[in-house]
Amino acid sequence: MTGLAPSFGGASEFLDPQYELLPFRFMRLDEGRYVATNLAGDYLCLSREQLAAFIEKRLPANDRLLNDLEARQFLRRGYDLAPLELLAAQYRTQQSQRRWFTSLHLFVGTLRCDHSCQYCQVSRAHDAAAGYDMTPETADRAVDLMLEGPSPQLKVEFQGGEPLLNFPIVERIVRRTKAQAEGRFVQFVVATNLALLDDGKLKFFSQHGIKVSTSLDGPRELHNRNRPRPGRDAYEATLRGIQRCREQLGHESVSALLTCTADSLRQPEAIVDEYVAQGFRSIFLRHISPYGFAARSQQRIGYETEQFLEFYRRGLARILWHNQQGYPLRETYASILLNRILTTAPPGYVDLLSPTGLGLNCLAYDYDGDVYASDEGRMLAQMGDDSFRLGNVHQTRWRDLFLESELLTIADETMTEGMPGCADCAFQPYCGSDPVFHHVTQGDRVGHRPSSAFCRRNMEIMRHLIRSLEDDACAARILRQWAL
Amino acid sequence: MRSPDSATMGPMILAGRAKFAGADRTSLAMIDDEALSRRAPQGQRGQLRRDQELTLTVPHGERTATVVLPEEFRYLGPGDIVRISPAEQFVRVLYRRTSPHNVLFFTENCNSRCLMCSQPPRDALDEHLIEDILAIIPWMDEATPALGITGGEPTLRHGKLAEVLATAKAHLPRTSIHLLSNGRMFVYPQFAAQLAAVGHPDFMIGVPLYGDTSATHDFIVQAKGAFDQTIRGLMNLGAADVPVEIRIVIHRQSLPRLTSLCRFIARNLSFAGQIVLMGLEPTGYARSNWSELWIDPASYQDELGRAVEILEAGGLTARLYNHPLCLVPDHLRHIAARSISDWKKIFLAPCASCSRRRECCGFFASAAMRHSLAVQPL
Amino acid sequence: MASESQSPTPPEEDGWIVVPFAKEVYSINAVLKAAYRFTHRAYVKVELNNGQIEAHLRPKTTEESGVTLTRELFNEALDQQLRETLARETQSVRDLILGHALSETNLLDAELTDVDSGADPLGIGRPALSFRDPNSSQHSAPTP
Repeated sequence: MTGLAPSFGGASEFLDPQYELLPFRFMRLDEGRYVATNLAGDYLCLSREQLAAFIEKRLPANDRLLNDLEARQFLRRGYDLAPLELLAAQYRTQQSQRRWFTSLHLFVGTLRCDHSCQYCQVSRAHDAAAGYDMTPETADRAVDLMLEGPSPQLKVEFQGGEPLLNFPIVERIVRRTKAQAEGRFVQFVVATNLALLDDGKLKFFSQHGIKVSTSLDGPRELHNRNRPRPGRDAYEATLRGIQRCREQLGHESVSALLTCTADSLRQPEAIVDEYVAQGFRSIFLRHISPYGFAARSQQRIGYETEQFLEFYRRGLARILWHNQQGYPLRETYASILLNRILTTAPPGYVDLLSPTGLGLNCLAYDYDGDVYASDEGRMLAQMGDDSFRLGNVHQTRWRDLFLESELLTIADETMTEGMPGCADCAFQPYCGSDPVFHHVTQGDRVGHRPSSAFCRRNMEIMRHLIRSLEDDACAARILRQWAL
Repeated sequence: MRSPDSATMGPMILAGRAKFAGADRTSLAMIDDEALSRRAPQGQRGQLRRDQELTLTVPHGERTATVVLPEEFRYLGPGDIVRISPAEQFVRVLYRRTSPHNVLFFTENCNSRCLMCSQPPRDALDEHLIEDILAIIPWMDEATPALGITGGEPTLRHGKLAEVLATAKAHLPRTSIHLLSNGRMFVYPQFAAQLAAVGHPDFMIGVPLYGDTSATHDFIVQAKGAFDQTIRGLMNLGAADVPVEIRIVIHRQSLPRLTSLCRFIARNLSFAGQIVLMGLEPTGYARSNWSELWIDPASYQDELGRAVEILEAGGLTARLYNHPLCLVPDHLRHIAARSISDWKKIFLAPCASCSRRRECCGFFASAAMRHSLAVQPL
Repeated sequence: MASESQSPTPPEEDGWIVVPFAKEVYSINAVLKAAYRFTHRAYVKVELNNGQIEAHLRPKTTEESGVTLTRELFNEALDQQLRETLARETQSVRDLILGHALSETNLLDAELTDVDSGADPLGIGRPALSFRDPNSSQHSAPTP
């Protein structure tokens, strides 16, 4: 470097020509590119030729690509230890909350419900039916069982049926949890259709900082077709309920998610616009439930997955458009994935964990005290398959939920680090196993990767996000905001 | 390492020639005042007289010594601390009670040799600097808002750093301490742990990082292995919960990987309290290597915007130092600090009609002839 | 490249397309892993015939083109081969990093853990006078 003063060394003096490969995965991203991910999930896109040249050590020492690869810990120069320390630190951070075990606990206060949503898999026991409510004794035992686990942070979610149909049990569980969870941080969420909201319940929610999650499937016609409420307008009731919650509990106290039906798939833009119109800051474009899949052929499942992906891409595009117009709406699933792709935060979304989130991250306590490894596991039992039942609150102690059931075997068998098709997938660091989904759709909890709808859906969404980050600067700026 | 970019009101710490009578050895003295609490021992308090000549009378063993100070020292006041060296006929001001940011120099030695170093290191035997610092900290006013520790590279005196920190904690519990260091010595975990163990309530280390690859960073600091050590040092400091800030000086050698570096920081070093993007000070080695370093800030506005966006999306706090407001994109002006000390700050001709002069950091005095072509009033 | 020896229409045997892989270029594992990725589009059997690896494909539907499947299988096998090289080279450093990440002990630079803050075994603290000065800071010593 001729321009430097004499006693200074040029750039080439500081460049080590040798490099050593660090562990990474790769696969095809699209027509012209491959995507590579390092041990902790940091990614880089490159051509196949560059990839092969990199692995076979044919790249010149000062190739710009090598610098980018070094910056993302795909290689190490000389005897440098920093790349190894960085990877270890990132990996350690990502794993750091697994040792706390279960943090998400679902309580099914009742199976009774006043709606008849067409996609509901829960036994829709009539409003006034007897014998479908959780008893106080069961509630107490469930809370005690939950608190036997070591997690310093807990999320208690009320599901059903319609939880507000057995409100006393909601109150009981909240009170008992708060009384006994000394020093732990607890969040409460009620998943409700809001039809039975009244001032008393709102006051209780307000007193205990309880948040509300509800269903908004889209504009009025769509929502009412999906979620008929005998004699009444479910959409109106939902909007009224949202309004009341916001007034009493604050704007951010209510979140909504949608459940996709064949109808929904035709109108992603209208659904997104509806969420904007109702003032929501986030929308969860959830995939179609697999439970109807049990009776469907692999071909049909594949076709619906492609339809959902088209729906998702269009929905996401509409959301990004709203952002560009100045309305900050974020898509929840993309946010979860971007958090995995762009940060080293410990992951928490149940369906994207390896080892599985079943039991280890999430437990569901049914109205009768039966304990399931997830809400889907519970729904499966409603249909006669109790493969994911771990015990009962009246009989099973905490450790036995794991040690006396098949759970650990399931976790072991379904770790993405080891399953065929997952082990060397470039998206393994962002993904997880979903044994229940594969059990239901393929008859095998490990599943068959090439024909797995779970795999197809997640891979395509991840590909889409990475390509957006790489190719669309406008979208990338918005997506980066969602990662935290 | 010397980084005189913290805002200081009032004249600089000066050293100057003095005339001595009756003094035969080096000593430290605090300028006394009846109203102040007597933190310095009797035998080290001096009386300042501002007649035609500026004189300082200092106890000297059994005698009294008289020092005639240079005129530039007329600003000295009660509570200020000086070092008088009769052998070299020199007086140095070590501490000014009225300054919002005093700087303690640990050493002029450094184990790096940055291409743009504004205060080139000297190979001096200067252990006495630390001894002086340890002696005078107890004399300082408890209301001192902040003390900077710099050099050269302060961690070369690694044996004494914790002691200085502990002394400051004991005698100046409300004074924040800001250490500037290249961070390399913290590759030893014990060193980071030792500093953390002092438990100082308001201590932060500013560490520069110039690239996200060893070749880039090592080249800029002219030391092989520096990047590896600095990264590991930062991680050890993070693990020990020592507050850290990262500084990036922007010039032609660091600009190409600036955005990438910010991405690296957001992913790997998110425990940093703030990230400071700094403009070049055209003095010292920066002047020697000017042709390889200088780039007009007006031409890197886009990169600056992208760098800040990536840092903020990663949850980090970004600041701009040494970037005059007219050379910064409008939406980033609120994070630009008035970082140039008053005593070396100048404004240029176009600044006369600028409406935002008062909020602007201005220019380095050394930049009078070496500055952007795009300077304009706002 | 194996594909250059491939005729335009792949040979067939009893309705199975035969795709040969030279043993000098591909490992059996690479072919197996590559074949697995096609098991939703075709039935696959992998055999060793006369020292040559053969993948036999039978498309599951008539929409699947045997030619396309073959070509894609070759590309996938090349990728799997590359993965094998990568895994071989990074196996031990991967174990080292994960071990260091998940254990309580320092596996990377344990010898520095107890270094007294006054000491400087790596010689980092030496002044850097000039780049070409023999006393200038040296690169840290290699780890065993």
